[in-house]
Amino acid sequence: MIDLDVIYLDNAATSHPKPVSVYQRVDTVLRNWSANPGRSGHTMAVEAARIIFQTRETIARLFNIADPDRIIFTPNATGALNLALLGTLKPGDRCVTTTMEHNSVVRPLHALAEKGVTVAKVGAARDGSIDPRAIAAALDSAHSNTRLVAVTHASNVVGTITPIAEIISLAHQRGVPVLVDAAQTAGSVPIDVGALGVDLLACPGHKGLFGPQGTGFLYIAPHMNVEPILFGGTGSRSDLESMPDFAPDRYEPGTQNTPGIAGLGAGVEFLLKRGVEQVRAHEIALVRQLMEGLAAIDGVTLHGPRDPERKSGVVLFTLDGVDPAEIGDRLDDEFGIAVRVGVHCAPQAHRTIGTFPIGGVRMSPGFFNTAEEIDRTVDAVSRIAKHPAVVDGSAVTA
Amino acid sequence: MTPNCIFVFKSTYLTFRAEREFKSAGIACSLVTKPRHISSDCGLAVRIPTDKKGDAGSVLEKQAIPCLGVW
Repeated sequence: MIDLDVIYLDNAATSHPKPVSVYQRVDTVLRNWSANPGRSGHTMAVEAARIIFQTRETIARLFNIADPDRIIFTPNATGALNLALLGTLKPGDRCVTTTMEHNSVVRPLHALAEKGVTVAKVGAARDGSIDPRAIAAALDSAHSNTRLVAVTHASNVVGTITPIAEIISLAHQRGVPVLVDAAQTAGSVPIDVGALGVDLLACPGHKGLFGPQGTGFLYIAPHMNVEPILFGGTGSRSDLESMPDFAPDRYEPGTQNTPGIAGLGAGVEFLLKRGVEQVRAHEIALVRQLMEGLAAIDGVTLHGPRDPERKSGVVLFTLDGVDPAEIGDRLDDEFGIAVRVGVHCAPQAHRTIGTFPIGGVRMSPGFFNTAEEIDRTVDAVSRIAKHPAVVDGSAVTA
Repeated sequence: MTPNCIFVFKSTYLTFRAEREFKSAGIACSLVTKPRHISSDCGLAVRIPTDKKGDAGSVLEKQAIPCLGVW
């Protein structure tokens, strides 16, 4: 194994490292059971299908999902969100969403708007918070054709957690289902699908759930009528030219990512043993430490809520007069610290918080980061703030 | 040789659920390829001893697992 000695603070994009059991499970399955799941009766194919079955059941336990066959595997959260949005909304329908969404919601909705879907965006506050009453008001504005509310559970830019319980309650009172984008919270903030009554839940496998890249899922509640957006062989009802009418087959054509799904299963098992609450508590402690350290540096501005309890594991900051890209490159080159800079595929969220088009520096600690790493990170930013890069004899300005 | 019967389900997911519940109930079973004369699917079915057919049916009813048929 290559030891890069990196302080990895980009867990909001992809978590790293993974629990050792994830690497082991992927290796075992790829070496031994990587046949075509659900297509043949030989032992390797049966075991491949069993791995996918077991992962569905494991995910269902973590999220309190009563019907695991409604968990649809996708390549990532983007795939899940596309299925939810493109499979639900038709020309003439209306969707209520917010200005804090990632492009994985913004772009499918834009494509749908070009085909006649009306998209109503509810504004958020400067700290990224979304008022459920504003969602309710958008639903009450005499539009009987509102088919869906699509809302992020936490901003990928500033981490602000959305009060989804209240939003779901208000939307259901008005007869409108809710799609929750849990890209930033699945595995690190408890989500009880059964108790919340989530209609559609989109999750990446490679972030808080500790799976490999190329994994994710969409949960579709039994009452939701979602049309498939991909078509092909499923190993079931092969006599039909149309897709099967039952989940999960209806939405899962083609060969599954068996090794990846196996790794995802190991990641979720790790979370079930440790407890999402423990992950959450650790991330809150690191975020608090990081925010306090950064706030004490001259020229640093923190964006988003100041209370870590109101955030996922994301800290966004800017440094007066210094381009975020410069900070990111120096953190990497001089200190071995991996962060994400720019607008984080969420330009309208940056517009909402006032950091567009420059963006900011996003640091996202994960379960495997330590307090010592956070101290080193704060020290690195402090050094950069004291000695900004010099070009042609003058400090670089944003 | 003990005569067997085949339980067929519409999805692989339900097939594995049935297998798990049969085993939990102490019913010996195995997964086999769906016989061609029963289905054009590429998928699996559950094979159990015919004398356990009634017990298996009770398990499916108790667990609310829909079955396409028994052959």
